[in-house]
Amino acid sequence: MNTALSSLLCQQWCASADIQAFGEGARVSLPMYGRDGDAYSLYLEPEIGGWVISDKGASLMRLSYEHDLDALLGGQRGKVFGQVVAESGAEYLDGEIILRSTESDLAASLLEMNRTLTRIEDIGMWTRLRVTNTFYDDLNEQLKEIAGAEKVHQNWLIPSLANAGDYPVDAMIETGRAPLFVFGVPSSDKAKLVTIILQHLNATHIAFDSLVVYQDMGAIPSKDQRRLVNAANDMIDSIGSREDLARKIKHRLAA
Amino acid sequence: MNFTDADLLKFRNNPKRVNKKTKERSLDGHSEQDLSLSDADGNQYNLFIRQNERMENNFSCGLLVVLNNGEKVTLARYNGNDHPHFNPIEKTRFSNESHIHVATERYIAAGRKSEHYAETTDRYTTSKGALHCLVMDYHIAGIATESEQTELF
Repeated sequence: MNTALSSLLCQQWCASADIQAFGEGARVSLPMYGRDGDAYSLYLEPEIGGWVISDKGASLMRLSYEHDLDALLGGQRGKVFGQVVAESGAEYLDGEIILRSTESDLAASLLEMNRTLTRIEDIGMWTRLRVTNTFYDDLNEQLKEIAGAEKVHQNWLIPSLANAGDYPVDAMIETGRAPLFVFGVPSSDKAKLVTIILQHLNATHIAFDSLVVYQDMGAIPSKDQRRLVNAANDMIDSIGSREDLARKIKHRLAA
Repeated sequence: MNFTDADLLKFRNNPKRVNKKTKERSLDGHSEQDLSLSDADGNQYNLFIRQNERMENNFSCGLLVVLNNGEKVTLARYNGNDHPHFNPIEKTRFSNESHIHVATERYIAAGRKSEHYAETTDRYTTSKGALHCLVMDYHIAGIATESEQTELF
């Protein structure tokens, strides 16, 4: 082992940790910085058997500078938040992120806590628009995998339809029979729009089949769901239901 | 969004007026209040005030400009002294100091967060003092603030 290198690293790591007295414990900041250059302050307080490491609610407060927390931590991003906390073995209590550690694991726990707070900060990068765009990207990718890229036509305007631009179809799949019009629905606004489009198409002479794929059906108000279920031929409740989506599309593809 | 230092200086110096503000509320262990502002050029801004209810020295008052596409760019943030900060371009670091983040052309051009650069300050130690400094520095009318210095007398 290169003892000089080992000594150098130990010395630099020790020197770079900012440790201040805090009550019966300490405030520790490691040289790991957020997107704005601010380090994370980790507060250590003793408990029987070890230590409690807490951010004292600072992480969520930082997210709130640019985001409405109620909106940010609802829906998909809220699920990611819960997953990040759970994967690190931490707890979330009234806005505070807490990680309990034995003394022998303290250094590793501090690194784990820092990593968790970094991942939580990155949730702020997932704006509602980015989450929606990711849903449409995922849907298109799945449709192409299932039906073959050559059969999938994105942002389809129906050739025989007057003012077709007012009734766009997210994706048209050639089935060998009536075309399958697929609509992605990430929001109640989109649910309403797709209902209007399908009701209009149903009133025309155009032969087609229709499939609605929700980003998360549970996030759509029941009134919007009820109107759409009457207008569309078939539905998938979530972009995560890949097997069901594949089954329903393959069923429609010509033999 | 590639603002130059000249653009950022204009945002700073344009007189602004508060149009709307939310009630201060307590949420998840911190108090928060948000205000909407505008200037004579039609630019829209958000001013936020945050105070950690568990840690008196963990606070932030900041100003963001809201672009036409809804994107928000932080122009400045006036923070307390509860955490260290590192400026990667200058390679300067400090700890236990109130500090002010400001948007700069060089950090935006480097792909960093607009307000990544920060400097220490002794102009305030509380969130009320920070808010007063922000309001003065960014020429904001319609919100009453008090300098920390007056509290000494």
